[in-house]
Amino acid sequence: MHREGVEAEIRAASERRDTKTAVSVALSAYGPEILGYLLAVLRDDQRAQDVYSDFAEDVVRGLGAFRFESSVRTWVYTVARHACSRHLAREKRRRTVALSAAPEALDVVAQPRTPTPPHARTTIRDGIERLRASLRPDDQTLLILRVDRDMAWLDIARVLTEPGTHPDEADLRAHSAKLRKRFERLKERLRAMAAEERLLDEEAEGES
Amino acid sequence: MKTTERDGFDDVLKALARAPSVRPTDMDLVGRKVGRFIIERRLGQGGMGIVYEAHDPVLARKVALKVLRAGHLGSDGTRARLHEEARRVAALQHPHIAAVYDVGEHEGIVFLAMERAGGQSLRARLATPPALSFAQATGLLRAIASGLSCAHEAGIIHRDLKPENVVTADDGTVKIIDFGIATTGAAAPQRSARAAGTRRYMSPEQAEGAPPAPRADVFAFGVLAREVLSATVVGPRDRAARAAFQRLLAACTAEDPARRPRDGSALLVDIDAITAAARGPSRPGAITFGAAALAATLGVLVARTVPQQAPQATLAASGSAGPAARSDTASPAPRARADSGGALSPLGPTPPEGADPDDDSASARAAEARVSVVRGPGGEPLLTERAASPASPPPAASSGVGASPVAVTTAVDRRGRLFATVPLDGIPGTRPAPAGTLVPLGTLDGSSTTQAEVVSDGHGGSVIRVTVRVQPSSAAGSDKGHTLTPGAVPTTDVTATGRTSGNDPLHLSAQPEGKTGTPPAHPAQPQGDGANVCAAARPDGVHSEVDPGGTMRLFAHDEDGDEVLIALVLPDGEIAAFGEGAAPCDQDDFESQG
Repeated sequence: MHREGVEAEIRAASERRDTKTAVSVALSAYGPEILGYLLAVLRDDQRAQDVYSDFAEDVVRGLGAFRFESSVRTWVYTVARHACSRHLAREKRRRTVALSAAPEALDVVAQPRTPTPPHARTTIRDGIERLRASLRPDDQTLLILRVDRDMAWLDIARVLTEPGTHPDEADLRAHSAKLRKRFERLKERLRAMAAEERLLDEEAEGES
Repeated sequence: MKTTERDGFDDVLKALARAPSVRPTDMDLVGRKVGRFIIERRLGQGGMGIVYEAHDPVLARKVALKVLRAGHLGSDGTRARLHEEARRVAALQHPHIAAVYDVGEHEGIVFLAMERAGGQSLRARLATPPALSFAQATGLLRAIASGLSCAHEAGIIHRDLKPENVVTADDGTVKIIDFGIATTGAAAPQRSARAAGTRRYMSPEQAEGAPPAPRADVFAFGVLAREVLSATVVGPRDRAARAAFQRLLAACTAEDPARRPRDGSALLVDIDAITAAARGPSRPGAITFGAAALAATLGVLVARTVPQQAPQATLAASGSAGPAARSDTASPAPRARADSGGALSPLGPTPPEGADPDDDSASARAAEARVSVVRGPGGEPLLTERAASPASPPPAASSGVGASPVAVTTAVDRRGRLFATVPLDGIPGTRPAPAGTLVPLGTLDGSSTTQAEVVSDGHGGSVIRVTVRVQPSSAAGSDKGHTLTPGAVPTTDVTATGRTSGNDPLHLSAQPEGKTGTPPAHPAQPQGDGANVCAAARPDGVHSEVDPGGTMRLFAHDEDGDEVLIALVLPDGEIAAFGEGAAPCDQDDFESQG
């Protein structure tokens, strides 16, 4: 079904207070891409599954109160991001800091390591994975929504709104402008890292 | 976003942002019916999919059901690869490869039904006491090599061999599972930026994204086998075999693929050789002759090229085919063996036994090949030799030049066949060289010479002809101080031709014309440097094989006539294993046979 049709069907079901149908249509239509998003951010099947369960529960609880100020798609991404943030916050409380989040610790660990054997050295995939691992969840979300999901900046601003806040249209526009700048800075940083990982065409890079 | 980046950053960004849609139902299929299979529990996950235990109500059996892993489902390429995997693996029928029963799609879920190999993964087994005995470990490794052999023969490369993909049952059954990223060499992309496999077990070339080849599996096997052997209990009697295994595994994990066994079949042969050597003969002393032959053969045939010494008895090339061309040295003139089927030409067709090299056909052949015939004292054809082309470097046999540090493994078996393994990456002019180029390899030792000649070249590579000349050291000239009965040991040449298209070691075998399986008569008992001459003088009783990977196995016969492996020689010339009772060359061995 076309996205507009999905949105209309959800809205219609919601307006007649048929939440069950609204949730069913929303999860059927957007569930796979939300799960894909969660897998990309969390990089773990089991964790993504856990968060998806939370997300689905949030959709069931929240869709009846949704005021359709944005598309349902944007809203479900917002719900998913919040579920993901809660999950990460819970994990952070109960586990030690990942080495990837502490560069100084990585340096210490790297010192006694023997040189990587030739066959184990960088491949493109490994370089991409390292870059991906270096991304904070919100940066990863920003990338996914803008590059892969091709979402409008205003919608991205809605998704990346902090939980519990209710920004008006002006706030969202200001937020989206900040997000654009943040996106450009993120790209610059990734470009530098990609160059370090030798993922870029060095000759073309020199020309640009 | 901008699409004007020319340095590939856009692609990197897209890869980082990629988040393919995933059906939530794929996350947990337990209790669901997929196709005709009822999923009962999750077993684990492989490189491409989640594996469940499922029940097949039609055939009333358990199966391992693999479904595309979340994150891969949206990929048509992955679906196609799973189908391809099923088709190829289903064609394999082998006790050590998990069978594929079915493949299909159900409500968007792609599944693969495979034999449910009971037991635990090799990884789990290695972590579970009691530790494997050495015999159990080698049996297990042999089973894996056997499965690989079958797959490689079918053109299938596993590409992700690791302990997690080997299942061991309580009854000892071993099965390779998860040909999840298996592909045929022919169908594989020439070079992929995405290296498939598991890092730890990935060969250097696989990590670089090179086209898959059986030697990548051999590398993975080597890593796996090291893990297995490191977790075994090794008794005193196992030490020799273990050392042999370690050498084999060192070859398996060589960075240069050409130094590894070629494929699973070669691996299997090597393992069999090691285990056979470890078992030894049925009765002590049963292969005394084998020991002698081994010692003799190893001395001369397992040779690493040494810095040049001029051969003790070189043969002068002659522009004519006249008789009595003699050795230009003071050593006794060699005598042709009556049963040798005629002297073996290093460069041209070999005159059959009794043939007159001066007859029309022989002359034509000689003219064509521009060879000269060297005759023994009785006028019998002894050797033919090519007249050196002005444009070509002189052959090693007459010049003694060519101290190329090339390890050459050669053997002459009891049927007179030559086996030579030449690592071509050390030979100049083989990729490709103009036809007619002579490539001197140097002397094998003080009494034998070898040379390689490029006889033709083309798009398919070069045809290399290798000549090995084994001739007696002269009594006076022997640098080892041995004496030799004049005329007791003939000089003999054997020639083999093979084609190469790359850097793979060249495996050659040749059989003298006119000799089809008839063992040569036992020549006079040598009394000299047995290590140098016995292999040529008395090759009967020893059967040698050189596999495509360059490993040579030497066999002898025990009292019951059973073939017993007496030695395994690795491609680098090291002796990896001796059969019980075998010993390095000892003059007493030969005398005891007299």
